[in-house]
Amino acid sequence: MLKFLPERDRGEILAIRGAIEELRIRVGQPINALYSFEGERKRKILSRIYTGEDIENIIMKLCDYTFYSKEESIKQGFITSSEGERVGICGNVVKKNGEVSTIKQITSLCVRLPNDVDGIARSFFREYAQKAVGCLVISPPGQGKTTFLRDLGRIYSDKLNKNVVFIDERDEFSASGRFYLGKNSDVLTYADKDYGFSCGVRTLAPEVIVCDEIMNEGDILACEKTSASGVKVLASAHSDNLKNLLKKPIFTEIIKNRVFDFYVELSYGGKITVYDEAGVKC
Amino acid sequence: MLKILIGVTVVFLCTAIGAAYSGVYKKRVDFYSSVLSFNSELKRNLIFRRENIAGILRSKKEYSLLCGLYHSDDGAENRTAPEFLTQEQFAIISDYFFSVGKRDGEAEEQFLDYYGEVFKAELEKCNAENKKYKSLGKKLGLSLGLVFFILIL
Repeated sequence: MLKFLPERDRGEILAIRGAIEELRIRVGQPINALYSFEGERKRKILSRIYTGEDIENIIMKLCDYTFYSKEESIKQGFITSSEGERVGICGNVVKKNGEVSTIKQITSLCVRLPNDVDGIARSFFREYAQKAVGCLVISPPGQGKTTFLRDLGRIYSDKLNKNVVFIDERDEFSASGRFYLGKNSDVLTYADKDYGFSCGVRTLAPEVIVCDEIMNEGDILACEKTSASGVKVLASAHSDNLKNLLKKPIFTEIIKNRVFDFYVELSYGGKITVYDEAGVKC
Repeated sequence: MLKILIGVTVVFLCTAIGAAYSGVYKKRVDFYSSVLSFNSELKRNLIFRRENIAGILRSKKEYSLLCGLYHSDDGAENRTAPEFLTQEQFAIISDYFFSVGKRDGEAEEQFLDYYGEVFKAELEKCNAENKKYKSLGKKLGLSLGLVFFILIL
């Protein structure tokens, strides 16, 4: 884990008692580590100040010293390490012909460590999803949406023997094969949702599709079409809660069009609140 | 009898030294052939698989000569020059292996194209030298050996 960090800092971070959730690495500052311990979230600031060259070295290690091997993901603002850590990149965005061609002069990194909690979706499954249902998982960033979706997809695959396709845009579900996704699961790694929904449905005959972070009208339309064709969709969206989510114009139709069977609000500590397809609390 | 034996041994030794001296040109030809092949492989990799460079170096036996020149995470000071390369040749090779893989796809393609031409020219030069000098060393060694042989007798 964290093999792309200098050895001394890596040792110091791995020695933290608790589950490391996130690292912030910024030029001119020491590493800021967010971790949870005994149900509480805490921060540890390391001592060594990072320079631009240090961050460049980290990027090269993440790319296995072959920058262009990760070019496509860099254009989208992240690199996934060989052990599944997702590193968000911040720097100067370079555009060519109106499209992002690369990010240079990188000034900060946000490292999210993959975390799998087996059984986190079990109570939801037992109470609401004994037949496979579609659901939208809602929470602010870092509350466990991906972990929940992974577990629910895995349960559908293993317990209900459903063919499940994971659209793993940033290799967060599978984490380079580190996480088990179910015996009847297929993974489209680094595929965007357009490709996943259209080609995945046409060629992989899924009964369930799992994707993360639906953000725009295109994503919602794809969920709607897929759901209407009989394939259950498990997806997530960033928001504090369902009420605030529905204030966003692009999400207002999802209740009306019954796109999802359930809406699941997640909060820190694994607390879930479930709403039915009409948006009424269960 | 002993003198003949010593003389024959000296002839063989001198011929061997002569052959080794001219063998350096053949080694350069083999080296630049490997480098050119590796450079082409990187170009194909850039278009198709986009795997990391260390993996490609390990993938074929013909690149084993190059493995010691590629150190992904350090500077040129840790590279040891193959004894058959001149200082100028080693400087170019060193720059190549230090810089390879450190840019985006488009810039890397230009980099590989540029060095492809450099290595092609170098290979042609080495082929010409090898053609010219390959038998010269052996012949000189043999001649010197025969001179010593006569002197010993």
